[in-house]
Amino acid sequence: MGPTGEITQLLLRAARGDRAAEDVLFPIVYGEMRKLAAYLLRSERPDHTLQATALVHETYLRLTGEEGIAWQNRSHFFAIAARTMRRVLVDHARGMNASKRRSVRVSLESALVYSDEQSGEVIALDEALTRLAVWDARQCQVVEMRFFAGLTEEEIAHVLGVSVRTVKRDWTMAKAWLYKELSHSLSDCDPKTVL
Amino acid sequence: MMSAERWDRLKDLFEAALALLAPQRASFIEEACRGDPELKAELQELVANHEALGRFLSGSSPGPDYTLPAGATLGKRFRVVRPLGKGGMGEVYEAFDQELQELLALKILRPELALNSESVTRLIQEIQLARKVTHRNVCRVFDLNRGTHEGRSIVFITMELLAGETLAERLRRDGPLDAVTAAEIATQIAAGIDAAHAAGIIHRDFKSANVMLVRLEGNTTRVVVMDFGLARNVACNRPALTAPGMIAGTPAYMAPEQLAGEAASRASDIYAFGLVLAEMRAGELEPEWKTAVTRCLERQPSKRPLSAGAAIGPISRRAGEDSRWIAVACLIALAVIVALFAGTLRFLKGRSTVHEGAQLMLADVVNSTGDPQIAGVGVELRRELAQSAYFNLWDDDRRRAVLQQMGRPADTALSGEVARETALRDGVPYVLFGTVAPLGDGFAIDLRLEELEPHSIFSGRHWVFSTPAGTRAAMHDAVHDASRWVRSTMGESSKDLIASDRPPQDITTTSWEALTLYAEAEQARTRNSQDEAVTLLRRSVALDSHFALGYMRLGDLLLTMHQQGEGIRAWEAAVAEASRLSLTRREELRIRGLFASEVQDYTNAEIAFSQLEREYPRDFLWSFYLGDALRWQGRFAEAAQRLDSALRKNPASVATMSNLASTLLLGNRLDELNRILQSLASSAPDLAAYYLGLRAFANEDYPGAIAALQTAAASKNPDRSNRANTGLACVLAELGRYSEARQVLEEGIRAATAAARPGARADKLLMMAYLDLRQNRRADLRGRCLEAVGVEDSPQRTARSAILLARAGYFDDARKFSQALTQFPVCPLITSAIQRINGELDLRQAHIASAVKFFEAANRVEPRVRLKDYLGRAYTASGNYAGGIAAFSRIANTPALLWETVDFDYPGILTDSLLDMAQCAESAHDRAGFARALELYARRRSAPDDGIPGAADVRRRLSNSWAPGN
Repeated sequence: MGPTGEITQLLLRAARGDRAAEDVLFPIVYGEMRKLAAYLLRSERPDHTLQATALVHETYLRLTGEEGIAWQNRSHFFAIAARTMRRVLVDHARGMNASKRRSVRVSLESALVYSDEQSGEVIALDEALTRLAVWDARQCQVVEMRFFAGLTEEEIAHVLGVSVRTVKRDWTMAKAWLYKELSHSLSDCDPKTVL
Repeated sequence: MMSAERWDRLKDLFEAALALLAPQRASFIEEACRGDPELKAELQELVANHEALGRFLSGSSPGPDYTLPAGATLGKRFRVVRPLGKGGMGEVYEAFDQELQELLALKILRPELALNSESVTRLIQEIQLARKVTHRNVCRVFDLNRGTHEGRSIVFITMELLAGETLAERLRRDGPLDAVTAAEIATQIAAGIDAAHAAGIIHRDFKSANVMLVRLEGNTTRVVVMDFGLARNVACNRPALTAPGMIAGTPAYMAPEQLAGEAASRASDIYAFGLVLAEMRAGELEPEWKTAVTRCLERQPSKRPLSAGAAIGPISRRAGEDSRWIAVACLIALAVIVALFAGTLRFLKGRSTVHEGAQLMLADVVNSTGDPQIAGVGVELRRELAQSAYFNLWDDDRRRAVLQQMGRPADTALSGEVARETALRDGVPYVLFGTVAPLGDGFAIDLRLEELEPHSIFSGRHWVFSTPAGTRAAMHDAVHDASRWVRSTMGESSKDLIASDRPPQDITTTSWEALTLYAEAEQARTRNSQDEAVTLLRRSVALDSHFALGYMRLGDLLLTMHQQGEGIRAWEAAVAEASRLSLTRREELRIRGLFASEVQDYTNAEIAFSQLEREYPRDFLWSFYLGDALRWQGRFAEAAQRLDSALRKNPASVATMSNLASTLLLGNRLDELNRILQSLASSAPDLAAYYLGLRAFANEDYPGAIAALQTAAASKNPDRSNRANTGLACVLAELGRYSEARQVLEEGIRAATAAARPGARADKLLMMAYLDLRQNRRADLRGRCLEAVGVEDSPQRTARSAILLARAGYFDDARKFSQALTQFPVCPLITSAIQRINGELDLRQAHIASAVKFFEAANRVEPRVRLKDYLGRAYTASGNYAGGIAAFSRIANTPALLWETVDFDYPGILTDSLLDMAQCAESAHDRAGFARALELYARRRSAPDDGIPGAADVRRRLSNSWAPGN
C-alpha cells in the first residue's frame, strides 16, 4: 500500500477514536500544510491572500490522493487540519514583522482569509482561543473547525459527537466571547475587522 | 473571576437570553443575575456583543474574492481602481489607463478559461470584429491584452466604461414605458444591432439586461447595446454537470431555432429584439407595435425582418409624427455598471451567479418541531420553488432510480450526506437543506443552500438563511420568505420573481389537514403505494373542495392506474379550480395540457404545451407532449421537430423515442426512422421490434411484420408485450387470418389476467368483438362488449363497445352506453363518441342522411390521425361515392395507420375498409378505383381463413354486377 493508502488508514483509525493514529497524523499533516502555506505565502507582494479552506483541501488531496473518501473520515481529517492550520498561521504570523497593520475585513462565516497585515490580529485571536479553551474546550474546537477549516455545522457535530443544535449554541457564544476578548486586547483596532 | 461552574451558568443564561426577543433581554438579565454584579456585567457584555455581531453577520454570503486588488497595475498601464462585478466568464473592474489618462472598464478572463487556447482564439476573432464597430449605440471594445499578476498570466479586455442602468433594471424599477420613450430607445437599440450586423457580428444573447441607458448632459439618454457575440464563445466551466445538448444562453430570449439547437444568426437576434420590444411595453399595444413585435417573433427565421431598423420602421415613423422624444426623466445613477460578457450582472452583495437553468435539489425538510402538521412546509416550499423558471427543481421522482444506483432502499431519506451524494450522482449542482425548528413560541425555518463541487463531495460555496420566528399561522409567510431568499440567491432577477410569484396559500390550500394528507400521499407515492396515495388524496380533497393540487395529483395517479373515468373527473376539478388561481402557472398549464390530451382536444393541448415549452425550455416533457399533440393533428414534420428537441433535452427517454418512431412512420420519413430504431434497439429492443413490425407491415412485408411483433410480444415488460400482442393480432386480422388472430388475443387475455391487468383484458375482448362483428357472431359480440365495459370505468372503452353494439344491431345496449357517456364533461373525446354512436345507430337503421350528419360532426371533432372509416361507409350509403372513395383512400394509402388501430380502432379494419372502398367504387362505376382497392386487398388477403372473402371472391361477387363493356 502506497503512502496515500497509509494516510487513509490512519484517518479511518483516527475517525474511530484511535488517539495513537491521531498523534501520528498530526505532524504529517502539519508538515505538508506548512510546506503548502509557505509556497502560497512566499510571494514578495505584501497583499498576498490565502484561503484557509483551499489550503486544507489541497493538503488533503496531496496526502490522500483521494477525492471520494467518505466525508466522515474527511471531517476527522479536517478537525486535525483545523488545529494544524491554526498553528501554521500563528507561527507564520509570529515570524512576520508585526508592525505592519492595515485592517482587512474577514468574514467569520467563511474561511479565514489571511494576509500578512493581520499578523497581529491572528496572534491575538490565537491567544484568545487558548484562553477560551480553558473554560470550554469544545467551544474552542468548534471555532477552530469552523474558522480555520471551514467545516459545516453538521460536520463539526459529527466529529465532536454532539447535536447540530449544540454546535450552533457553542458557535454563537464563542463568537460573542471572542468579540469581547478581542476588543479588550486589541485596543487600537476594531475587532470586527478580525471577526 | 471565572470558574467552571460560573462558565456553565453563563452559557445557560446566555442561551436563555437569546431565546427571548431583544427588548425582553434586559429585564431577564436583571432578574437572573440578581446579587451577582460580575456575572451580570459578563452576561450583558456577551449579549451586547452578540447583538452587534448579529447585525454584522446576519444573512451573510461569502464575499467575492477578487483576483486583482485595488492599485494593481496590469500590463504596466492599467491601474485597477475597484472591482465592479463578476460574470460567468470573468471579473470586471473599473480601471485607469495611465497612458491615455482616462477611465475604462477592464474584464479579465478566468484563469481556467484563459488556458483554453481554443476559447481564446475564438474570443480574439470576435474582438477583431467588435473592435471595428464604432457606433454610439454599441459598447466600444478597445483591445485584448495580456498582463501578469502574482506570476500568473492574465488575459483581459479593455472596453468602454458606461455609467447608468440597464434597460432591465429600468423596467423593473419603473415598469413598462410609454410609446414615445420606448420608440426612442428601440430606435437606438436597432441602430446598434444593425451596425454590428453590418460588421458581421451576431449578438447571440440579446436581452434587456444587455442594453445600457447612459444619462448624458442635457437630460438625454444614450442607449448602448453590450456584449455582442462575446457571450457564447467560451466553454462552460463545469463539464461534469453540463448535460449533452445543454443550451448555452438565456432561454427566455432564444429564438425557436436556437432552442432547437441551431446556431445563432441575425434572425435570432431579431427575434430577441422583438421580445425586448414587447418587454418595454405593456397593455394593449398600438397596431404598429403589435405588427413590429409579431414580425420579429415569426417562428420561421426567414420570415422575420432583415434588420432591426426595418422591424421598427412603423414605430419610429409614428413616434416622429407624434412628438419629440422627451428625455428620460428619472435615471438614478447607481454604482458604475459596466458591460459583462456573459451571465447577468450582479451587484456587490456577494450574490451568486448561478447558471440559469441549473438544477436545485430540495433535500427532505427536517421537522424537528415534533408537530406532524409541519410536514406541509416541505410541500409548500417545494411548490413555491417550482414557480421559478430560472432554475429547475430536481424532479423528486428521480430519487428511486438514483438511490437504487447507490444501493440504498427507495425510501431512504434525502438528508445530509445522502442528499449530497444523490445530487452529485444525478448531476445536480445545488442542494437546499431545510429544517423547521421550534423557536420560542413558534417555529423558524432554517435554510442552507449548498453549491456542490463537481467530482468531489467537498462542499463549495454555501449560503444560510433563517426566517424570523413565527407561529403556525404565519408559516405561509415564512415559507414565502424562505422561497424568495432561495430564488434570489440562485440569481433570479427581481422581475422574474414578481412575475411568477404567488403566495403559498394561494397555490396550495388553507387547510393544514388537507396539506398534511397530501404530504403523506406524496410519501406513499415514493414508496410506490399508489392505492394508499389515492385514498389519502381522496380524503384531502374531501376536506377542501378547492384543493386544486390534490385533485391534480389524484388525477395523475388514477390515470396511471387506468381509472380513466374518475381520473378525468379529478383533472376536470383541478382545471376548474385552476381558474381560481390556486395552482402555479406551471401546474395550471400542465393540467390544462394533459387534460386536453386525455380528452383528445389536441388544439388546446398544443397551446398549453407550447407555452410550457417556451417558459420552461429545459424540461423535455413539454416538448414531448407538444410533439404528441402535433402528431395527432397530422402535423408530422412539426411533431418530429418537437420530439427531436425533447430527445436532445433528455436523450435517455424511451417514451420520446417511441413516439418519434411512430411519428416518422406516419410521416413516411424512413431514413430518420431507421436512425431512431437503431437508438431504440440498444435501449429498448422490444419497443424497436414493435416499430419494426409496424414498418414491415407498411412495406407489405407481412411475414417480417409477424416475426417482429412476435419478438416484441415476448418482452418481459408487461405493457409492451401486451401492446405487441394486440399488434400481432391486428396484423393477422388484416391478413384475414382470423383464427390465428383470435388465438393470439386469447393468449393475450390469459397473460393480462395473470398480470392482474383487467383493462388490458377488456381491450382485447373488444378486439375480439370486432372480429365477431365481421363473422356475424352477434351473441358473442354482445357478451364480450358487456364484459369489457363492466371491467373498469373508462369512457373510451364504453364508446368503443357502444359503436360495435350499434353496428351489430343491439340498439338498446348502445343507447344505454351513450347515455352513460353524457355524465362525463363535455370534451372532444366524449362528444365525438356520442356522435359516432348515434351515427352508427342511424346507419344501421337506414336513416342515412342523419347518419351522415352525425359522422361529419364527429369527423370535425376527432383528431386528424384517427381513422374515419365511418365517414366512408356513410357516404357510400348516401350515394356520395366521391366522398366515400376519398375517405377510404386515405386509409388505404396509409398502412402506417396500423399503429393507430392497435390502441384505438379494431383488428383488420384497414383491409376491411379496402373492401368497402371496392364496393364504393363499384357503385360509382369507377373501374380504376375498384381495381386499385382490389389489388391491395389481394396482396393482403392472399390466404385468408375460410369464410373471409379473398380477392377472387370479391372480384367475382362484385364485378358480376357490371354490364359487360362498361
